[in-house]
Amino acid sequence: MHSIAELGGDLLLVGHALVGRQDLPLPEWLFIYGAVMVLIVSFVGIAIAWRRTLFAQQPWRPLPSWVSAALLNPVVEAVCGALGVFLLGLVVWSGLEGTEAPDRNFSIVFVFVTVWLGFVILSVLFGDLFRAFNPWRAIARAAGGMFKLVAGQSPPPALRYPERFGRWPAAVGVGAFVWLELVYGQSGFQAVGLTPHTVAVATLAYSAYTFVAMALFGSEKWLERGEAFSVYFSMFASLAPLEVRERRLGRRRPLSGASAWVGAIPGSLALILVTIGATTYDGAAEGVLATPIQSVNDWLADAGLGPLAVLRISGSLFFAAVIGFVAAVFWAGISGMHTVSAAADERRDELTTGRLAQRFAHAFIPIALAYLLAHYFSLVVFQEQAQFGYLLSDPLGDGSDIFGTAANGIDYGTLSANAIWYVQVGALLVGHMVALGLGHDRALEVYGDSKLATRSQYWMLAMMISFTALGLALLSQANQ
Amino acid sequence: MSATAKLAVAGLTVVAAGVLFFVLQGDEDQPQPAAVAQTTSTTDSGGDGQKPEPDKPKPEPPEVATIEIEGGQPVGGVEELSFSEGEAIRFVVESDVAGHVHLHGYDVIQDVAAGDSTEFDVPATITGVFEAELEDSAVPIAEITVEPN
Repeated sequence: MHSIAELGGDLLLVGHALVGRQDLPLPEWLFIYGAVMVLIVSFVGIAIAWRRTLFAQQPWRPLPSWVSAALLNPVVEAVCGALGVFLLGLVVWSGLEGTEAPDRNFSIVFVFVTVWLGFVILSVLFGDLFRAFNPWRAIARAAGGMFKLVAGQSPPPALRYPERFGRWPAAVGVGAFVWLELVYGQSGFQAVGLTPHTVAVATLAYSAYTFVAMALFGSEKWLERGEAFSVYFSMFASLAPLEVRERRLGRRRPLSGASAWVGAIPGSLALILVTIGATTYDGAAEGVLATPIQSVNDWLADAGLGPLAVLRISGSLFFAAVIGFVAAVFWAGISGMHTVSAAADERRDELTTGRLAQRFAHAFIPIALAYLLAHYFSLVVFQEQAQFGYLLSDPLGDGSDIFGTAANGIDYGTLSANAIWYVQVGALLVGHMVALGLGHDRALEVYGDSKLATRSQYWMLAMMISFTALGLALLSQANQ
Repeated sequence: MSATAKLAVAGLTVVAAGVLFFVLQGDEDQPQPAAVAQTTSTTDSGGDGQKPEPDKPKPEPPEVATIEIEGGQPVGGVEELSFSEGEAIRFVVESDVAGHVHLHGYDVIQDVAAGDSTEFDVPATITGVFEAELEDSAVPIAEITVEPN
């Protein structure tokens, strides 16, 4: 028997179970630099704030029509969709049939790194690419096409999607996915929580759930509102400089899509806060929360629970608590903003805290992105070497060598600790600046060109500084 | 504020950011030579007069840490070892069971026979935090930190 202290002493989260290398904590000087820069940037941001809104309109200019014709045609769509379906099948197959060693099996790296993190980066750069590769959408479209061929009309959705649910199903879905990775999947002492087999089963279950929901509410509706991956990546795609409108690809001002993405749709804010909260939990669970988690573990173990149950119950509690904490910080800031407008503005009834929260939510998408980059940048760089090296040629980990790259491992020398640190601090600082800019722009729109806009922004600023400082603090902690 | 003034403020900020970066980064590098200088001076004064603590000025001999494995478990839990880039990662694993010791990241695997030991001596070229584990049972035995210079 092993004591629970040993058990909790070396928690490895899934991402870290994959890698043979973890990031070093930020050195003190870089932490101080980052913190000082946050303050300087904030005050300069206020000093040089613009007077006209830059992002209220969303100018969009189409690219030459041959570009759209080349990229957005049925052939490309079919090829991308087929590739997506093939890869979904490969995840299930390698998960069920392949090795149980998480780092040697195609499924875990592909789902949690290549897709989950890779498409965030691709979406921000190139727009909503996931839509093209989404295997569930491809299957639904193929099935719908078949139905039309036989019945002569498109299948009508069985139910009307209740609009008040908004993006809540997606927010819950993203929360569940990250919970699977970080809480359910944590491996304790000699107990691997998340096996490739679990990933395959979860993929099948999620696929079944998605098909049922698409059949009930119509596939396009569900992809816009409920399908967790589509909604999650479309959130990051809203920052991109490229957008498809009416089947034409066009350029727009980067970041200008964010506020339209949030719109008046319920649950959008929840998704943003879940995203920030999940990354915060991943960082904090090994640092500042390691000791409290250990206490809860001990307490639960004393109550007679088994090792994995202990890890999962305490993990779930802290996961929920961290998301709650992030939401509370956000809500406190918005409430402060509300007091500013309520005191002086005749529109106090119109600008309730809830409405303000909805109208300023989009400014936090860049912060969610910055958190992801700061925490997982090195993981992506290292694991993609595995993905396109040995995992490509040997997806099951059974010794095959399909493309002759089975011997290509990960070169951990590709990124120095210094390079990783600079990317981390740089991501947080740029995210902070962009968030401030979007917040200021929205304040101008909401309050007009008045002192109120600036005063309301002090609360916004306090919130942004809190989140950026929290991000820096998480990175500067040594793993425990 | 005019557009030119705004540009000037933004430009100055960028310059300040750069200067601050190098000033702070330099600060971090300084303590190392400073500490060395201090150690040498204490050694000198220790040689001249009587020093109450003779153990302090000794330039610590590179002691090799030994990780003992009993019943497939590291005695005293996961050992934390720290090295600097450019040094050698050195440690000894003494085990009462046969197995393979895997130093992750560097991907060095060494066999150890039951009741025997194996010594790792690997150039510390990659920075980061790495794990050493008993490969067959996946039991972590050491966490190795390599700090950049």
